Amino acid sequence: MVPLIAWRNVWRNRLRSLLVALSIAVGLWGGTFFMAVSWGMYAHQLDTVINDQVSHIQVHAPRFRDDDDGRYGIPEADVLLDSIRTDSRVKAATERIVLPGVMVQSTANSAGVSVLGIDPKDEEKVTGLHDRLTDGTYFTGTKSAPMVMGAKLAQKLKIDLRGRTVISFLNAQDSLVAMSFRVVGLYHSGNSALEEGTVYVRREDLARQMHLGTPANEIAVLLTDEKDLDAVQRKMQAMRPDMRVESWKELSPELRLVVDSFSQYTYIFIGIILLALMFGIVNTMLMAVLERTRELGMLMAIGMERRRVFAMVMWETVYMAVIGAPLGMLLAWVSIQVVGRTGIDLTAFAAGLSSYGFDAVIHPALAANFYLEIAGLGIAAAILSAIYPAWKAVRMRPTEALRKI
Amino acid sequence: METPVIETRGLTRTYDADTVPVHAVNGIDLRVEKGEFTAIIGPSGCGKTTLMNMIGGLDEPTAGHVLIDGEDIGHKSANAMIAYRLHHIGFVFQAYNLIPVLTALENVSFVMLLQGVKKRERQQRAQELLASVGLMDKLDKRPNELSGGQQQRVAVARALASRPRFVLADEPTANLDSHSTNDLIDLMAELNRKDNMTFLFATHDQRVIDRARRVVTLEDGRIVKDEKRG
Repeated sequence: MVPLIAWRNVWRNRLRSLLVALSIAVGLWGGTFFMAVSWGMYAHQLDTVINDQVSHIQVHAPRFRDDDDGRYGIPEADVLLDSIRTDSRVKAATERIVLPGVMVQSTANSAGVSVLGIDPKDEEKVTGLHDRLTDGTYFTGTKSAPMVMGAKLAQKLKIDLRGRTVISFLNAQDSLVAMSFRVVGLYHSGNSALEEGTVYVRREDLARQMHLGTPANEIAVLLTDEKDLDAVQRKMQAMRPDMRVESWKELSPELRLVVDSFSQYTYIFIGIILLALMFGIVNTMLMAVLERTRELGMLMAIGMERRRVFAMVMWETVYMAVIGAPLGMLLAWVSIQVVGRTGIDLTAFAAGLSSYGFDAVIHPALAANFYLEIAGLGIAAAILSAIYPAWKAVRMRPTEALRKI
Repeated sequence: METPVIETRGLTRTYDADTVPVHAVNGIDLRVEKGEFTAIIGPSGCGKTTLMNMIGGLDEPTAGHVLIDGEDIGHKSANAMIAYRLHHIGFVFQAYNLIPVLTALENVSFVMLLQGVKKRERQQRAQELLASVGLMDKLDKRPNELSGGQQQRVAVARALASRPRFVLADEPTANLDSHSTNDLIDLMAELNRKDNMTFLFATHDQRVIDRARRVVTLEDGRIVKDEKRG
């Protein structure tokens, strides 16, 4: 009967109880929606980094990574690539010759870039570069060595389609080489750092001048499912212990930090919301207890044990929380679904967002487990905040409580 | 000699008002036998409610003892005292003090629920008690749907629900009109006569005093007169 009394007590002051339940609902809704927007931003950034840039796994010679030097190739890269492709968990893989820190010059300007010598057909499957072309062709339409560069870099270099560029680098024989390319395609990326800092040429063109002695200095691997990352990485490392096999988490540590800390800092944000909520619940429940001082005194006078009085006040809060928390989660789910489809258009801030790798249109999204965890946190916070009012209730002396008007 | 239901020995309650101690109850010796219908009277501030609170275990004496059926209740912890009240003492308060969210039937059942009485048994006894106080047609009414007199009848039924040793009623008629007062006194007198239930009232109400078979008069925390009537 104690839960029954508590339930009926909740509805003695409907407006107040509904306000408490609504404040729980709105607080959790706001917190959850914020999490979804944040995750929507980071998910796009993660997607861009993995699918447009680094893939899930890359293989390099150790000195390539240590010295950031493209002259260190992967011995028998073709054999390794063929082995990798036989793994059913691998969606696509390709080999590249990568030249980090290379100067590219146009007739008007110059810029420091990474040059990626790629196999255009294979690259389509790994980074989908051809899909991001905004102008020109995908390594066709010229007898010269073709180059695809970011539209922003082209602006910086003041170069148009069909324009000529020259790149200079030291090859594996320590000779300074200058190569000329014709710009045949311009691409766009949501990540402006990538768009301004990476140019693509054909691997076969670079190989002629690099004299690596091996087909590639980088192998990039895209997996079908992210959950296989660790297993595939371990397997590849076992295949070639002399090479450094790294996942995107090692290749892009700043993004790994963002993803790993996402839960933590959003829970801190939710915690701040819940803390504010708890003060409201404590205040409301204290009011509910103090205005029933005489009644609580009577209950203890006629023989209701303190633990039952305590439980009654706790039940009242639990009821309001189990009304408010699911309502908040429902509101959050509906709004995330709706806004997740339409997106939040921040085109006005596109340049700034792009420089951090964020898309101009944010699609809020949140994994199902977060809804349950946040609802649980909301209910737990409500229960915690009811402890003090419940404690106050049982500390009353029946004689004093009964004297209250 | 038979053990009295209620006995106080040198019962004293002192409050520290500023630096001057106030003796609300000052060395009261009182014996109440089984089946008595006793009124404690006296002017406001004479110590009636304080005495009732100590007998009911709601307040602790500064000195002296309260014995219920010969057992000194002064050494019980707060929680043990709550359980003791539940099983041995019935209370009727001035302001009815029913649980507003429960019906009449639930209010009476509630005490038995706290005692751990099975549902069927408590439902049956609650109905019998409400029938005995003339409220069989008000079982499903909540306190705000009942008149003051009806609420106090429910309170009497609730006080009896736990099968107590005695009933303490502090100014039970103070908020009632004369018709309801007479009905309530008739009811309690009938329960006293029929079931030999012991009633101890603190009251100002002359109509209650007139019906009491024993009247104990307090002044300044002391018994100044103890009158038994035929």
